[in-house]
Amino acid sequence: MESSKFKILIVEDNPTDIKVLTDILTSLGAGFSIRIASSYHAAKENFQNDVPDLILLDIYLPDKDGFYFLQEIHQKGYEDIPVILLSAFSDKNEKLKSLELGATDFINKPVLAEELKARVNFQMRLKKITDDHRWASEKTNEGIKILYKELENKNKKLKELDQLKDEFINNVSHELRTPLTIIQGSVSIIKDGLLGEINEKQNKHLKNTLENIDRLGKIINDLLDISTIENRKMKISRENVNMTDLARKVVSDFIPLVVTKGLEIKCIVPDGRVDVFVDKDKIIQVLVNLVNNAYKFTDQGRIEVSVIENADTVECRVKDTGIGISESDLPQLFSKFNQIGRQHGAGAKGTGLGLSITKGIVELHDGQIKVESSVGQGTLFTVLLPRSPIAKQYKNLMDSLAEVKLQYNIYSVLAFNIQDSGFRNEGLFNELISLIKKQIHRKSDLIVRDNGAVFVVLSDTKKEDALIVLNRLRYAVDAKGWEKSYSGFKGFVIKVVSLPEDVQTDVELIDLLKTYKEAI
Amino acid sequence: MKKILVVDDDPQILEIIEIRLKANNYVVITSPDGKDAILKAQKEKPDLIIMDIMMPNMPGGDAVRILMADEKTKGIPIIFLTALTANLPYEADHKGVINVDGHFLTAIPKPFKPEKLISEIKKILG
Repeated sequence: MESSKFKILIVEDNPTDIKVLTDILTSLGAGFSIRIASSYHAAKENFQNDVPDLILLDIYLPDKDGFYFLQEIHQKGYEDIPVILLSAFSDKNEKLKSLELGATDFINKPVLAEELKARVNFQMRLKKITDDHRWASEKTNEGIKILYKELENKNKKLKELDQLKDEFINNVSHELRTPLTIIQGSVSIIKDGLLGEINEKQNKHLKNTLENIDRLGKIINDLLDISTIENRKMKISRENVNMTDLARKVVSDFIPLVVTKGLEIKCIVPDGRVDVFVDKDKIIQVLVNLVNNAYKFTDQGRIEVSVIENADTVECRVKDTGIGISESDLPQLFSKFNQIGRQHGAGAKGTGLGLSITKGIVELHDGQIKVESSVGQGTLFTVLLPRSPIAKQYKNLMDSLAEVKLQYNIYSVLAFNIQDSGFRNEGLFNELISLIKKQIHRKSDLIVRDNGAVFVVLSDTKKEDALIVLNRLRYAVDAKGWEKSYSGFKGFVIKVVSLPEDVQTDVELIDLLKTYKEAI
Repeated sequence: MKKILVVDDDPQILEIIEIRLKANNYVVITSPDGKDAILKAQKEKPDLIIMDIMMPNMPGGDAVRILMADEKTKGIPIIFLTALTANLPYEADHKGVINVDGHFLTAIPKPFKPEKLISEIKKILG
């Protein structure tokens, strides 16, 4: 490579000086290439053709002075090319000016051989160090890039594996169910005597078989549940649920089982309804899991299920007088495959997934689960569920949608959310609403205010048409320039969600409008 | 006696259901896939159809749509019996519903308890 030689550009018009300089430099050895330019213009051209590693620059040139050339290459961004100025330097100001313009060094004319050699050698060493450094950092960068690429590939592979694992669990769950169905069906046909009479001993073993088939079925369900929860694929379909009813039902389902074990079970709920907006089946699953745990780990005493109404949450408690959980076991309680009570009796059979599923479901509802326990005294699980969050916050919108739904099964909702959620101004909302009213002419369209946002419900309107309305409104809003008249107001985030294109239910619709808001 | 058409691609499952239903005094016809089931339903006019979902030769969901659209079969009640429970809601008594174009059909997940199947049948056939 050409760059292996140290390239020196001598800019000098005096032939005698040129000869002196080249003689001294050639005596330094073969590691150089020397180019000579005898005017500013020649120097400029030479520089542009091939950027040198060092410039020896005479200040007095026939066309323009050396300072001009120095300034020019610095302006072009070549500040790291060392420039040694050559001059008689009789004038102190000349030296100062050179420094100001960024010259690297000076050499007084007439040039002393030893001085020039020393300066050039120094610049060569410096370049080598810089080059080495640059090389090392380039190599490091390359290394980082390679590592990053490797990481990316590994990550991709891991994701693929993860997906394979999910598919595998799904398939296996399905594939396990079919043989299990046949085993269960056949065993129960024999046990029920449909294929001929059986004796008591045979009956007992067939009963055990069926119980364990049941257990296997539950394990498969648990595995599927935990995999859908962990992959965030579990869907919750919310509805208004009366928690007192739900707690009573779960408790009454457990009465026969609990009584057989000699335990007492009580349901303590307030009079009247306690409404929460949740997935009913999944919250039943949560309660069943917790009561079932209490049942498994309690040998005497009682189980209490209670519902408590708080201002923002509904609390469900499941309390038992069982063996309790030691303090050291509490942290792992909700982890997968953790069966803390395994050693405590034959009743404690399970998958070790129940509590992680329970926690997963509660968290899907934006709720919390807590546990308090002391060994030998009993355990208290508390589930906190936010109270009808969506239905409550977006009541007006829900009501309007319910009205629209009576007549139409296609509709779109435009949402005007304020960009900075801290900003609230009634005047602005009123202005916005009257502006929307002017833009929307159909009687069936509704304008609703809820939770600090304005919604326009466009009945019988497909997404593509709603987008046209959205653009018209956006234009009208922008033209108002409210950002100037209301200090602190940064604009509206306007979104559109359509049914059935984007969502299937009103709750999903509101959920989506809500996430848009939170995404800002 | 009421007549029930059972559709499943697994002959052993057909057999256990057949034995169970016969023991409960139902007349049983069986079918191994959706296409065959439609023909049998048109011909035999069963009082109820028990339908698997994942089957070769037309899955259960498609067969149900055709049955519900066909004049000759549209009134026949249908119960799904399926191992595809990922989309079935959990319920304490192990039963769910599957929405087929706005029609909510009872769905019993596999493996199933025989008494559950019989009680769901009785709910429909009396």
